[in-house]
Amino acid sequence: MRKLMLLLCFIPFMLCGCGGNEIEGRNFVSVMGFDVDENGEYNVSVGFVTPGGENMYTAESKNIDSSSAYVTDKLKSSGKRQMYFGHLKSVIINTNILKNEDRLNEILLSASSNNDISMETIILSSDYKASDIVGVIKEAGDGLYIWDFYRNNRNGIFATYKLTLGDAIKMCDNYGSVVIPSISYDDEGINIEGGVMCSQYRYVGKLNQSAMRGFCLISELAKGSVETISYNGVNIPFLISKNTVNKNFYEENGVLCADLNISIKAKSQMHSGTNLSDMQSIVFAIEEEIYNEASAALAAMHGADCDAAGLCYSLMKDNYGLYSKYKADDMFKNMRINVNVDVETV
Amino acid sequence: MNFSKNDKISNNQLRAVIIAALLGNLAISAPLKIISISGSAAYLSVLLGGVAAAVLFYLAIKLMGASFTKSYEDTAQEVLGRWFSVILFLVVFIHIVLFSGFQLSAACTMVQNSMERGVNSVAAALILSAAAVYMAFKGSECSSRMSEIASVIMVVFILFIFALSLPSFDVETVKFTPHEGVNIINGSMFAAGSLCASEYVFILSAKANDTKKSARAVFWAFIVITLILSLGTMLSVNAFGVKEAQRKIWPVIEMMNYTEFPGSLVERQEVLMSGFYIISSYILTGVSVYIASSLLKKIFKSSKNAVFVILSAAAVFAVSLFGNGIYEKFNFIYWLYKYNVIIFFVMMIVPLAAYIRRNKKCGN
Repeated sequence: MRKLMLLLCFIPFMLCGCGGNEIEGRNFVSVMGFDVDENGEYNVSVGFVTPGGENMYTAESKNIDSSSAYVTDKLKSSGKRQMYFGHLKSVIINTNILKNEDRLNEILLSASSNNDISMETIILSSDYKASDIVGVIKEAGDGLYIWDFYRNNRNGIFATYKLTLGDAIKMCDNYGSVVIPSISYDDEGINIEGGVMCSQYRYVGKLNQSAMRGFCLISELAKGSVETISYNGVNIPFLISKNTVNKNFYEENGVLCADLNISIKAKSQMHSGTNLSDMQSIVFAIEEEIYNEASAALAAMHGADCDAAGLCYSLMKDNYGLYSKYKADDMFKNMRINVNVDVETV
Repeated sequence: MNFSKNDKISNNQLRAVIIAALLGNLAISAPLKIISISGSAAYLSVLLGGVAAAVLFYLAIKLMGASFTKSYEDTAQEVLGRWFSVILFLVVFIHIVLFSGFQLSAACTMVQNSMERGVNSVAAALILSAAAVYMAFKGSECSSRMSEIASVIMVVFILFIFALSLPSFDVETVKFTPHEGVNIINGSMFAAGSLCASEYVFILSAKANDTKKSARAVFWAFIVITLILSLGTMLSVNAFGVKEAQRKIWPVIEMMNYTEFPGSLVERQEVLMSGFYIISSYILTGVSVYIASSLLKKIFKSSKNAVFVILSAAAVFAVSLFGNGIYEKFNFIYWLYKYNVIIFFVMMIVPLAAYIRRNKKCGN
């Protein structure tokens, strides 16, 4: 019996491995771009790392004969080496795809249903062709560029946020809307600023840099970013160390209203000679700046009927009675929103 | 390794067997259905259902302790008579084979999915069934000693991963609203059914060497399972949102994949967790084969242990081949979860009959 047990213990070792593909037989995909051609078929670009290859990072575009986004299976074994998506860091979606109904849903679902793809994968949109962006990333080094951009430029990112696959799905499911940060490129490299608003998985409009910043502030995503104000001709940078939003819903004259109370803690390195009145003026200036940005974001979101900040969802969770009274498709559009800003400098 | 021949286990071991056998298997299959019933408040359903199951079992075992001192099988034969007890044993045998067979199928499919194409689910089920033969052949002490180690490792690792998931916790997602009340109750009934694996509790608790304290051991085992399952369900809903969690085949396990270990301690922790769930499945299969073979011995009035152990393991393996995947529209394991509670009341006939008989004797 002991020999039998010993044998049984060894059998599992024969059942494990890399699924028939060793590291040398794989391409490690780090960036994936989605474009769509005039026939509605996907043009998928992949930037991948080939271990031991002559060019470490390679960018390739493939026209996938598929109108569905479940293209990763087709890509997996389309070459000599297997495409491995376990190290995928970012997915770039061309804005034109987002204008087609339900395409965003298709891409998000196909990515989340693939066991290899991490829910931490960054989702970005682009007015440029996704294949071009993948190519530019190639020039910038290896495919981890976007990932590193977020990791290393945390303080430098003042008009965007990191949208992961998990967050995108959660926002779409819970709020019915999402804001996807936009990526573009110029001679100096890539830029991530502004965003694309999607409601019910469809493109509904854009947020410019200032409105995107406002969106981050009302969604409690601005922690770690830097706000710069100009005072007496001097630019003073403030690091936002805390960003909380208190939402208060009520009805007034038959209209659903929401108060968004944005609380900010900001750190700055002002010189020691700054007097109290200057200090108060500076705080007012930051509050005004933040108010303007939040208002710009809300105006854009209202116009596009895109509740990516999840106000209706928060109302449902906080006050179901009030939510059911005003429950309608245009609930967010008809909501009157007041913004209050309170900044504390440390 | 040598095991005692008296086939007795301690209360600590009883608690460990229940935790190790049920925790992993329930975490694989139960949350998906409970989330689809209760939505964001699924964790509350698990909590209510789990506490209800713990209290039910506590009372049932207290009644058992007051009614008989022999094993469950012997007491059943004594109070119900030969033929009624045979019918009861057959019902319990069929249930335990179906329950462990479908659990084994779900666990092996999960391993196949999480380990890419490296493992064949049928091969994994065959290995586990074969290993369970050895464990069942050696008696209850073998599985309980292994469970003591496995339950500690499982609970510690699961809590560690849960703790790592907590910083990104968003309270709003798991807030429940009053209109979810009916769904929460429906979900809690399903959760209680999922936890009502009565044969393991009734038959093993009668084998505890201190039956007076076994009710408490079983109660705490179910509370531990309930708390971990509830926390896991809550974190899964928080990580993916309700709709995506409903789309995930194994929400709790995939949530663990979502949580990153610091410093790349383990690159693919869902594979690590799959390993723990395989141990859990191994223990559940081993205990099931042990109980099923002991019932067969009573049915056929025979002491051929090896034959019945192999027959029971073959039956469990055969059922596992018919497991129809956890996400199919009609799933057998969900069907069993729903009606598990019937087996609880069927098995309760024995302690109730023994209690009435004993009271009558005392009255006379």
